[in-house]
Formats: sequence, C-alpha cells, structure tokens
Amino acid sequence: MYSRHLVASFCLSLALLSGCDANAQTLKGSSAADSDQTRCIVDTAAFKHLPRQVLVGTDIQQRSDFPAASAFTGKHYQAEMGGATLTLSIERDGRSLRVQRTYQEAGMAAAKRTYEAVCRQGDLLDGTSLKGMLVRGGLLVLETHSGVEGIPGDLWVLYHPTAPRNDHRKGTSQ
Amino acid sequence: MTYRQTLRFGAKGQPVALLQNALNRLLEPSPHLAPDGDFGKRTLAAIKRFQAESGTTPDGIVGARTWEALEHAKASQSTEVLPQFRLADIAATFIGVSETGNNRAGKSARMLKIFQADNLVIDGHTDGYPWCAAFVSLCVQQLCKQTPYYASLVPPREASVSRFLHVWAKHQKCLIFTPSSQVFKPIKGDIVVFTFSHIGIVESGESSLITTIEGNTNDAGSREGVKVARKKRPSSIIRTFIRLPMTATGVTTTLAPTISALS
Repeated sequence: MYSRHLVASFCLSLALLSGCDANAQTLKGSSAADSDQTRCIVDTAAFKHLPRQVLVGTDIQQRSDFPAASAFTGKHYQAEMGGATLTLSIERDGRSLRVQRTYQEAGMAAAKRTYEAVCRQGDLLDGTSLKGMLVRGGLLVLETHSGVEGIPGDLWVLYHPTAPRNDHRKGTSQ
Repeated sequence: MTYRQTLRFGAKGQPVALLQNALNRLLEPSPHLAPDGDFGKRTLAAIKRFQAESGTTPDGIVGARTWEALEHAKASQSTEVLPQFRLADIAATFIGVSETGNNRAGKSARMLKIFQADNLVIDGHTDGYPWCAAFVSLCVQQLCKQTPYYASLVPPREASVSRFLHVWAKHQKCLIFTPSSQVFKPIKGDIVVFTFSHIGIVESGESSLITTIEGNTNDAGSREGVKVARKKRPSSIIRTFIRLPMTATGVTTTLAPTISALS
C-alpha cells in the first residue's frame, strides 16, 4: 500500500527545520522496514475539511486570515488562552517530526503530550490527532483529541515563536 | 403546604397545580398540563423531562433539588432584578484594568487585587500566570460581601478554570448548564466557561451573542490577553454556564414569588 514515498520525507530528513519545501513526488522504497521509517504522507486534501476558525489568545479569527509561510520560525512556540499557557517544542526525528505540547493551567500540574511521526509537506504538518499549518508569524495547531478539556478539538490555536523556556511553574498555595 | 413539599405521582393539591403551571411555562415545547392539582401520568412525564433537561435525577419525584432547578429555570425568564446581577456590575467596575505584560501586575493595585484573589504564589510572587479565573474569583468574593443572598457560599479562590468549574462550582452546588439547555438560559451574573481554557461573567444573554466581561482578554483585534474587557461571544465557543446558588433568604424573598406568579 505504501510502496512509494514522498520526496518530502527525504527532504525533511536533510533540512527539516530550515524550511525544506517538498512537492508531493514519490520515492521508491526498498523494504518493508524501510517503508515503515520513511512513509510520511500529508493528506493535503483532508485539510480542506478541517475547522476554519482559529483561537488567537481569547478571540476567534478565520483560518483564511493567516497567510501560509514556507519555513518554521523556530523550534519553540507558545500560546496563551485566558486561563492557560501552551508551549510546543518541535524537533526532527528521522524523516518526521516530534512535537511535544505542554498545557499549563495556573496552579495545576502540566499536561504534556508528545506527537511522534508528524509529517511535513510544505506549510502543512500532519500527525495522528495533530495537524499544523505554518503561517506568517507563527504556527496554527489543531489537536483533535488532546485529552485536555481546555484545548478545543474544533479550533486551531495560534502559537507564536518563542525562546525555549522551562515548564510553567506550578506554584504553591498561600 | 408549600411549594417546597416533596411531590410525587399521585399527589394532589395546590402545590401540584403550581408545579403544573411552572412546567407549562418552563418546558419547550410546553406539555400543556391542565393545572388541576392532580399529579398524574402526564405531569410525571413532564417533570421527568424537566429533570433530564436540567441535570437533576429524572426520577419523577419533586424534591429540594428539583424545586431549586425550577427556581433557577424561572430566573432565566425573570424580568426582575436578581441579586446575581450584581456580579456583572462588580465585574464592570474593573473594565480597563490591565497587566503590564507577561501576566504581571506591576504597580496596579487593582491588578494586584485580582492576583491576590486566588491562593497561588509562584516563587514568592502572587502574579505571573494566566488570571481569568482569579478575576472571576475576586468578583464572586465581592458579591458575597455585598449581598446577603450568598451567605452560605464559600467564595472561590481559584487560579484555575478547570478547578473553578469542576471543584469549586460543584462543591458549592452551583447550577451548571450548557448553551443547548432547553430549560436554562444565560442571564446577567451567570459565569461563563469557554470551550478553551477561559472564564468570564455574563453581562447580557438576551441576544444570540452573549455579552461578557472577562479578565486576561483584550479588545477585539488584538492578540494578547492583557486586560479586563467587555466581549461579545457566540454560544459555539461556550462550554457551560455556572449560576450561583442563593441562600434560603434569597430564595424565599426573591424567587418564591416568581414561582408563585406562574400559577
């Protein structure tokens, strides 16, 4: 079924975070094991059916308000809702990406989740339960099954690039 | 006999007639019960429907919780000035109060007051974290001080939206209902919890867009939450509403007449 592979995957393995832009061409695989490692297909058509609204801070905007970007602006991103802070760390993992998200409500334990094998093709990121879009000034992320009540499954969240930071502190009670 | 009496299938009398009238007014579509004071099968079906829609146990028995729910539902239709309206008025006095950035209070006494409304201290600082729940906590604290209707309420000191909803509101026996409820409608002074981590106070729920007052938000068009502001919100991004429970004093002096007026 997956005997052919995207050039995007190969390109990602070389220059993942430097803005490698791959076209949806194919690359022949040589074995099943190799196939497992290199299959990295972004279902670009499916993105048309994803939510069209974006959570920006505490406001809702349209996805069309955010022009696509061709490259990551960093490895670390942050978003804040009215009651929680979210951070993303993105790193290369072979031919795909590993995305770690941390959700922190004030005074509560952080909720962390790592998305493995996230594929990138152009401005789109595609993983199990996680979609992403590189946009000018940041990154739109949709977690369809985050397991966290405060992360909406029907809204993209706008993340801004940020410097790496320690996890938000849990604090103590007075 | 009072309307607080427990009623069940087979009961007869004026309290049953009061109940039947209330159900006719509150349920959509109306069950069109004859207010004959006879708790029969149709009244039983109607009260079970109300209980299911209001989140109480649909057992057909009208006990204290169901009477409370009936009172809350009536509040949704009331044109009277209710004590909880004061919560939105208190919140409005904070509109424009701003942090200095990065969730810091700076030298703003009012921002410090908001941050000090919860129990959170981080590295010796009372600020530096998302503060929408702290803002609502402060407003409820002030409401409890200003009116006698919430004397039994333990005011919240929550920095977390999820704790505010799942711990404080539930322990205080607040009414919690969704925007899709056929029985309860948001009114001024309800607390609104969004589908994302955010919380505010309803100022007006009369139109399709709900007017709220929120902390750690912004004016439309700006991206960062830095201030207390008035917002217009669609129900599609609202998870639940929280309605504060009034004490017996408030119920008997304010809501009981409205229930009676239904007959």
